[in-house]
Amino acid sequence: MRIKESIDKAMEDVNVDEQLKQSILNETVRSSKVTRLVHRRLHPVAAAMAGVLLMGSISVAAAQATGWDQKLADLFHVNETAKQELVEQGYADILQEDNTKDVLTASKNGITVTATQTLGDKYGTYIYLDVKSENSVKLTSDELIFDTMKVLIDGKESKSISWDSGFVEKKYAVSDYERGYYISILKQDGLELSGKEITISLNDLLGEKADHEEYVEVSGEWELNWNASESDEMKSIALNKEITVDGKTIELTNLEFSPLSYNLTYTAKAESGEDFDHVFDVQFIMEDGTVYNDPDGADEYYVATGVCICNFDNNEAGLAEGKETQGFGKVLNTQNVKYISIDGEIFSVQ
Amino acid sequence: METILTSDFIEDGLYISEEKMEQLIDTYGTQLLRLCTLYLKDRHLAEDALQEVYINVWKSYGTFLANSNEKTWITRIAINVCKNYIRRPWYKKTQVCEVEELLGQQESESGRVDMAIDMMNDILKLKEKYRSVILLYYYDELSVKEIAEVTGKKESTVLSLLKRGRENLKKYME
Repeated sequence: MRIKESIDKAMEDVNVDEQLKQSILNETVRSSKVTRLVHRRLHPVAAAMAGVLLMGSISVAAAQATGWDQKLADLFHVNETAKQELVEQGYADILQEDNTKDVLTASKNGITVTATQTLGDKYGTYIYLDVKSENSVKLTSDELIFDTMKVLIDGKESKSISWDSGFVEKKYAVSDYERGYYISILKQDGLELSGKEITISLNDLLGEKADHEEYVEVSGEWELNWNASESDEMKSIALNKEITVDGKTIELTNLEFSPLSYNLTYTAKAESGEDFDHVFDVQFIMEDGTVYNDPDGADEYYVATGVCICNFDNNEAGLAEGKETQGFGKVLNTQNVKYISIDGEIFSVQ
Repeated sequence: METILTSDFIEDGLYISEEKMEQLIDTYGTQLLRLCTLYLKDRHLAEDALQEVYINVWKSYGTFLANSNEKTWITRIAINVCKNYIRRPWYKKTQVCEVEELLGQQESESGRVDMAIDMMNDILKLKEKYRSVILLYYYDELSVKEIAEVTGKKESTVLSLLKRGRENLKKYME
């Protein structure tokens, strides 16, 4: 028996059933929503795994590092020194509950949602919410997720953002009745949030039965809002290096990075809109030799927030431009980066 | 190279018809789902990944070259989606690593399936770069050249990864 046949035999229960097929068709050919970049709800299990963070908005007063949500710090491997630096540099904001303009807590039917902290830079805004249950509903299930969510900027939806959301891993839960919830926002088109009002609206906390059918565990709407400010400061390195990827000549043009993310830009001779789904292997090599990012994507030093914008758009010069934006799962000490490796090409960081 | 557009576009010329999408799901869906399951080591996550694969297929079929290999093209999309999933913060690095748990089965019905499960358990323990190449070669039955195309690696790199991956699975390959 060939290996393929053996595997197929062992996996005969893993197949595309009618429900999954219809779901795919509903999300594609039957959907009218084609412009949104990413946002699709993750499976609750996946969402629950998300140890995420967020960033982004910053309220008016200067926050103290001591006010960091330790669960968030654990998620992003942030030590005491980095906590202070991220606040001082404007990448972290500990939301101030005494700011009367902000609505940072909302309660409905025994569920209280509080926006505690944000992390953010030019390309991403990550918001960390604390969810408390004051009724019999435990927050331990991996299947729980808020049904729908809106993110409004100055009261309006924006086509320049996309997001993921979900409960953080159970190991970061405070108790069976208190657990973090993240909203990870990707910003595009040069969108700036500073000075703008962010509104987060969550609806109905859903559970999932054994047959994957969803049901409303707690109904309600939870709306929060605050004024955002964020740091868009990124280190920038001109690359100007041609490499060959999939038989295509690519010129790496620039790399920006902050403690929270990187943004790689490149050009090529390609048709506008042509698919190019290569994910570059970007590694940050620190002064002590530590390599930040395992090309296997399984190193704790580096985990992306997951959104990669990989389509070409032609620029004025007729070249196709591409960009790749990824977030870090562990904050990067940008001062100690000595080299950057992109698909094996080494660039020195001054 | 001139891009040759296929004939299944609708309206704005970007997206394919429902019939074509159904055909793509029927033809490749189950194999891709199994590939994603073994790649991600998570059955539910694999279903999410599969949906994302088909969203990408739907949105980019307009740039698919008619003279290209459809299976290679769609497999490449699947591998990249899986790779992106693994790089996301919510991807648990200690994913379930036992096939029995992954597939929800306690006992298999024959010795050969037992062997397949043992082999898959060893495949799941491989590092991602070996796992992906081994799966593409032995499960998807792609050639080295096609794997190079799918993964964006040089053929020599693929051969090297295959060699090292095989060493971990030697007892099944002999």
